[in-house]
Amino acid sequence: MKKRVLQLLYRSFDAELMLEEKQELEAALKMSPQLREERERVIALRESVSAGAAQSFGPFFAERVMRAITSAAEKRNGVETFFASLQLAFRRVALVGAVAILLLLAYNFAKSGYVSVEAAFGMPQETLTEVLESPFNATLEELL
Amino acid sequence: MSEENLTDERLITAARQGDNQAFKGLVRRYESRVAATAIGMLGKCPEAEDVGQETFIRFYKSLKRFRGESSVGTYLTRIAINLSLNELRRRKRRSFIFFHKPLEEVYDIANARASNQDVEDRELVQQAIQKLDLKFRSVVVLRLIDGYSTEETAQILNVPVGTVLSRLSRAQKKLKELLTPYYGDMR
Repeated sequence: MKKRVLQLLYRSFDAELMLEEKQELEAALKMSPQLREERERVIALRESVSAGAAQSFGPFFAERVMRAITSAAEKRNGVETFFASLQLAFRRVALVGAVAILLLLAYNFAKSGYVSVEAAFGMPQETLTEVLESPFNATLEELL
Repeated sequence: MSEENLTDERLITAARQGDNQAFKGLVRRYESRVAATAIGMLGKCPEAEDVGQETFIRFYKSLKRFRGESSVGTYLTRIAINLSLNELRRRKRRSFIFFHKPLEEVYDIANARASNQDVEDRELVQQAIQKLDLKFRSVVVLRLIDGYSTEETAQILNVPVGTVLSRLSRAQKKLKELLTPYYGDMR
């Protein structure tokens, strides 16, 4: 059998042949009993392959799929709920903390009477001279 | 109305709104197609069912993104074939580590036939398919088992139509070689 005719035969099952190719294959089929046998073999093979197709994964497959989906969703929901509660808790703590800091700042500013970094931290505002002249500023000799 | 009478679109719309029964209807409707693909690619084994389940789980997760550009059947087949190819690659790696040769070769058709004369023809054909290379096996499964057209098979596998035709031709020759000893001249 010619290789080209065999290729045409195989292709004829899966693709539309051009008119000349169709005529060539038909002529070859009329002439060659082996080619007709080959065609029968291919038909039988294709039928047995398609008949061998599995139809199912067994009983209750749909139920197993739904169970897998539900349990995955529950697990995901559990994790999501945990992180949502954690986020909420952090948000509350952050809000209370921010209010406390603002109150402390307001108190410190009100107490010192001026607005500065030192006042914000509740520290007295002193110049370098004041610090050096402070009665508590002992010299090294006095300490010794 | 029973889910059997509803179109795929209506079932998908209902499933998107959280109706699990509607999604279950889709699973029932397409189980046979996914089973044909997964079992055709992997043989009848627990991994084939895992692939089947994973196919539907991925479909469920992508329900909101599914725009219906391809039919549900084709969409599911594409997922199933990709998951099966992944599983076969994993299997190949495993068999390389443990057996140093592919699992398909470890379990030989001739041995199966000789050891159990009652092996059904269907299983024999399935085993012959398992002996094909991955690229030949996937075209056989999609074209001959799932019944997709050559063009659809090419689309699903993302290869040219000419490649599908040549792979089919070579796969059929190989299958004929494998099955002729058991079926005579296959007629």
